[in-house]
Amino acid sequence: MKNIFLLFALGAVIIGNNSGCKNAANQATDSTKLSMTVDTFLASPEKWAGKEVVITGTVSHVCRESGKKLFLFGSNPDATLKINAGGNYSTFDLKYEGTDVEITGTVIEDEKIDANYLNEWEADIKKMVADKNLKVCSEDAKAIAGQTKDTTSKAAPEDPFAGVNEFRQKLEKSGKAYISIYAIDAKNLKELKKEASVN
Amino acid sequence: MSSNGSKLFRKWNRILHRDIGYFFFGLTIIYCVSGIALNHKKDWNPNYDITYEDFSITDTIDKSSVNEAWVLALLKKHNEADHYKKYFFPDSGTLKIFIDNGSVSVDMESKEGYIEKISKRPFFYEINFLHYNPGKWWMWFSDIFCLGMITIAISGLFIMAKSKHSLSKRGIWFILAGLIVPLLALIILK
Repeated sequence: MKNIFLLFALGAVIIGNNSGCKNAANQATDSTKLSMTVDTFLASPEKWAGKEVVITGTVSHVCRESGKKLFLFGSNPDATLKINAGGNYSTFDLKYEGTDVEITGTVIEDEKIDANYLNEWEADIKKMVADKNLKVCSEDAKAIAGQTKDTTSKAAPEDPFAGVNEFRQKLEKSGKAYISIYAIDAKNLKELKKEASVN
Repeated sequence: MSSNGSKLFRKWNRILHRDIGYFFFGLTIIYCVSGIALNHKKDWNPNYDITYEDFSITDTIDKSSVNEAWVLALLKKHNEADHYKKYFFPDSGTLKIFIDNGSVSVDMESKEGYIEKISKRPFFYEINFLHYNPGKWWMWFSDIFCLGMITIAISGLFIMAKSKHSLSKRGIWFILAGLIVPLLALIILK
């Protein structure tokens, strides 16, 4: 029994210390938070990299498999922003789909779209085209497209490779090895008051 | 080790093995069952039961003709009007309506649609929630659990007194056999 008590005591000490750190961290970041909409963020995502932000938007999708990510949109449902679960949320509940929320979190570089990424993306699309029954979640691609200045779908909506080809051109034009795509590592999620309608 | 020292070691080894095992019994079951559930998430959704109900619409619709009144009328036909949240167009040909615990999708060209209803899988939702480390303190507690498991594994090696079944005789072969599988996995899968 002594051993069990020791375990309890050790756990209590660690939890106690951890809560203290968490409170201190919250106090430190409160004053540096930047509030904005999804539209404002997507206009120049690189501007907010590494910063603590508060973003409002509507949840378009919560990952069905893991619940570890959700996607927010603002005025344009074609342009979404990826939010990774974290902080008080290890996973996001599907009930948030269609809900207006306020996300507090840190802006991170989530993806580096380079030549290899594009090759893999192209291979996935080829598989999907070959096997009509194969379902591939397109939400990540939509979030990536949301951070590019031109919309890929308008050029040739029927062409499944339009997005990849457009990215190749952009990458070439940029002269860089990769294009950064940003997401938010969430610390907190607040459900906003239900509105009567949208659109 | 002297005879007394050996006796004392075996006594405390058994106490640790037994009591930590009792204490973590529930958590072991939670992690193992949710581990199996999450291992197979490609084959089923371990957290939610998702059902689909197909339907067709007779109206010819496009983005400009859809409004909240039309959406509510559609939902009323399917007894979902009270669950309405909002609607939007994820692409030029699709209307998506969010309802409580689900959504409705309508292909505006083919006039085909479906209602997706989502409900949490009782028991599995809760244990998977814990498996995903829902909070910092839980992370630390699960670390303690892992240390407990290591202690149980090591103390388990010395439960048997010297005999043909003890670690140095039978045990060592079982340990080596058990290590072959992860080694093979590293060779084949890596």
